[in-house]
Amino acid sequence: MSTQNPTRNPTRNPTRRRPRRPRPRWFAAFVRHPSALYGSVVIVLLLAAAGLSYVWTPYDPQRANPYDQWFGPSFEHLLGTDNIGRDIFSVLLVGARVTVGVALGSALVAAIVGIALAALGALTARWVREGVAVLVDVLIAFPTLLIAMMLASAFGGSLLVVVLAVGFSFGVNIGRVSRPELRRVRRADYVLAGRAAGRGPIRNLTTHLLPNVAPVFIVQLSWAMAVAILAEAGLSYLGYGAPSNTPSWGRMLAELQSYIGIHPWSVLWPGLAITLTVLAFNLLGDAIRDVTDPRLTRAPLVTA
Amino acid sequence: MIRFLLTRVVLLAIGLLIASALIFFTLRVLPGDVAQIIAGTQGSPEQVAAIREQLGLNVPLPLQYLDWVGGIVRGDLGTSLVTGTPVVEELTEKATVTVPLALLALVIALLVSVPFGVLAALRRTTATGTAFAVTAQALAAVPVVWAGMILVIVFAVWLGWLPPQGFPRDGWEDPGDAIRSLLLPALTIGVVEGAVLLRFVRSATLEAIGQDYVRTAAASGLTRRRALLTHGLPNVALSVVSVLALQVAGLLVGAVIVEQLFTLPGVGRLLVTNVGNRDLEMVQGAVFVFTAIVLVIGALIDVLARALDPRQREAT
Repeated sequence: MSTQNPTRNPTRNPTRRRPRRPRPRWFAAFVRHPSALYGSVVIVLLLAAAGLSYVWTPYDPQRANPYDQWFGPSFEHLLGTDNIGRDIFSVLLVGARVTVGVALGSALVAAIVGIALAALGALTARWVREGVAVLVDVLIAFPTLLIAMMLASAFGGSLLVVVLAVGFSFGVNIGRVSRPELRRVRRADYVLAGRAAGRGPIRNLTTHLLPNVAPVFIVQLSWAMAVAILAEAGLSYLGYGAPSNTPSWGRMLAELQSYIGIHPWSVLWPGLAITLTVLAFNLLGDAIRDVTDPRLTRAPLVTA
Repeated sequence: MIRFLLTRVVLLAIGLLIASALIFFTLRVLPGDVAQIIAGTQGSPEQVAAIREQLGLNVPLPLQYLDWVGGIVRGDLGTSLVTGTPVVEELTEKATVTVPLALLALVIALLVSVPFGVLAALRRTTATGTAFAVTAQALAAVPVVWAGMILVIVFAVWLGWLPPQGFPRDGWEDPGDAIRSLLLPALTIGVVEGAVLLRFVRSATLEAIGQDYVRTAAASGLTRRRALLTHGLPNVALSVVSVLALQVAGLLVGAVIVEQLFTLPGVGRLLVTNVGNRDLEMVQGAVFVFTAIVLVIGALIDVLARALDPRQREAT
């Protein structure tokens, strides 16, 4: 915490810069982790691309230009042009906005649903807990895509549908994945000791239960963002994702699909963009997991 | 164990009931009028009303639901509102494409993930281990649609070994032809899902390597590899099995997309078409069957996990 209570240290002048705290060990480990490096760099690039697209793109990503169809990559059109003569690089830049929005939105929804389920599963009376467990088991059986399809036929295809469907099903997923860990921790001696010492259930949740499932949460949220981007591609391909006036990487795949026999290279770019971004979120999650999970940092002691 | 099995069966039944209610009422809340679609744009209000009456759409919703659930118990999912064929008949016909596709994909996924995942963990300090891990990471990040397109470009357009899309008109009349047309779609799902699974296998194996009992076994004279294989792997199997339940959902979703990409006449394609048609009976039938498959397999895996894990048997 950088904002310490100033009354605690009355001798120190609050306007003077405090001596720098030593960086925690996990930070050093994180920076040195190659996956973390790749993930951070790609995510920064993604954010930069999305931001840049608001100020500048090489060409108008929306305007069809029938004289410029299927240009190959050149200095004029870095990645070539598509079936209606749009500059593929420009469309990719604008498409990054959708990717960022879908990823953040889904993670937010997933976090809310996940924490709610974890709290319900850890703090409530046995019958509520078991009931929630049954409900989670049922909900998890609904594949994301089916939820999205049912929502899409209600509200029409939209990115909100993608965000809600992915966020919801990943929240449920987090609830399910963290359950065994919660169950294990709930029985642990130190939790019982805390209870015996008069510690309330909320206190138990924040000091023991949530920190214990935090690695699961973080990894799952990072994966949720990855899955959100993949789901956008799949749903836009089926026609339930981004509307036709919103450029997105998934829509690009869908639009270029009919031409893969004649112009196979055009479909390379949006697919590559999706893959590299999804990889970044996956690797970032893995890196955080490696760094925060003490059981894994112990692994090098025993080498097979 | 018998008591556990009984409770699991009861839970499964409750689960199916909740799922059916969720599906039924979610779909009924959706806007759009089937009767209007059947009557067409020329249909007069009287015609639409007559069709509504005939389809039983005027009956109160809870009664319609009870009717539907009663039908499910007797193995009857209703009849398609558009074509008039029984839903079960249509689904079983399409399942002859989707079930082999999913099984083939599952086999490919397991063949890819289990051996290479354990190997990637055991050799994690060497170049081979890193190569496996990196390849799996990259493949797991590939969108299924794109993977399918690349495979089509390479194996159908360039090499010409396999058909780019479609399924033989006479179905399984010529099994060779049918399998040939399922190969690329199954490979698409299998490789992507296998890569996802490989990451689980690898991290489960890594986790097992770090456990005290493996260290103790190694300290008491077993080679480290033997210690891991005899004491660690059962735990790896356990976490892989529990992940498999989630993978089934992945396979089915993959099937929906891949059947669209390769124009296979399967359940997924049926579903996509009928969401567009607003054929409620068909959509709720297909969604229910998908969900039921995942629930039943989940229950089976629960039982299996309990049989494999003595710790769970002692608990509760």
